[in-house]
Amino acid sequence: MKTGLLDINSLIRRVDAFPTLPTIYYRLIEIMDNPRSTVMDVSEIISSDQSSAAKVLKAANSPIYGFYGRIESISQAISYIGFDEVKNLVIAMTIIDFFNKHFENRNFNPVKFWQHSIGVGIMSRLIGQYLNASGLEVYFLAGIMHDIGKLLFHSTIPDEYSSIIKYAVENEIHIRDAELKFLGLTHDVAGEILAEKWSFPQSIKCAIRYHSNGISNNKHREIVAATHVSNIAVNMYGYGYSDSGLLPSPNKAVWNILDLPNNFFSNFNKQMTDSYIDSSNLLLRQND
Amino acid sequence: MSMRINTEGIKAGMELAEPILNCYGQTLLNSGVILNTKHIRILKTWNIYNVTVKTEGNEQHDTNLPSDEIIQICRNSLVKKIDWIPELSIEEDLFNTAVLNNALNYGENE
Repeated sequence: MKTGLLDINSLIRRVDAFPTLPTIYYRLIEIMDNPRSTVMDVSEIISSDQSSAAKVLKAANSPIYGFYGRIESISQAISYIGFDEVKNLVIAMTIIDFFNKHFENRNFNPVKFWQHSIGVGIMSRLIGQYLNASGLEVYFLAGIMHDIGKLLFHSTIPDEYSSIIKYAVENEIHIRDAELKFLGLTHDVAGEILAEKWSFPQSIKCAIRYHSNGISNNKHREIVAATHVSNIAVNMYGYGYSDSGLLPSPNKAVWNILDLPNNFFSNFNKQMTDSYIDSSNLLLRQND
Repeated sequence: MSMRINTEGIKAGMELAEPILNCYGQTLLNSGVILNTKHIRILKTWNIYNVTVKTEGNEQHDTNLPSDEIIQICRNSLVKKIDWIPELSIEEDLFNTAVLNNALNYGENE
């Protein structure tokens, strides 16, 4: 296999040719950043996009929320299942749908990939909840999107990237080391470039860029640390599959940042597992 | 000891062995609560289908618990997947929880 296949400039040129995300995504992100936004604002945005509106209604009426067909409008869905939950649902569904529609790779299993990302999102949100953090939706979305650099590789250099994953697994090395060896850059850096093109919020960009190391010396350090720990934990749990090769240890400094209790994982395991099953069913079975 | 039962099978006087959470993870009823008819009615209104209650000892317990043999297989398999040894208490907790989750799903992901 050739080494040094990509450099940042050639990757940026490839990313420039990528389609942009659907408008609804940007409108919801804008709302997320605006503390004065209201239920009506979100309701109008979602209602104006037929496909998203239909998905929200289907999700809100699913057994997970227990309303069984009684929710008939977006504003009703927001009142019953919550403003943040609906926003999260639409953003996550938009991203997942977008990738599934635009990028196909016969060697890549999108369901396993998204199961892993959803798991990371759920655990990051649980950590955020424990920390009493504001903006829990950002913890969730950071988890959903932390590995988009891998998707970028899967879509731009599918055969080469499959060989790199195989190499990492067979030689029992970390995927990042294999990426560096053959591509000259890692999925974290690639993900940041894509996040930049798609104008992701700074907090999510930081989580994408630094989730492998877990350290970011800025105001998003808890989100980055939570994504780092969650990524390792969910890989260890075997929830989905993220082509990670050998699993690295959590960065010791991250434990100090998060200051979680020693029994955090066992204590929240039931909640984690139940939410993971519910959210995977909800987000990955929308097109059934 | 505890047992997971359908809400329809709850009888007044049963004691919750695990808290009941809603879909946001908020606690609706804590473990240890002795269920009465009002609780049972409310659980149905909330569309809670299953709860875990304490049992007296000889009933059929959680049959989904993995055997020691499966747990050992999963432990060995996880050791091969990671390149580190849990040192801190929280790392041991993470490792043991991961072993349990792998054991509970044993066969599905193989």
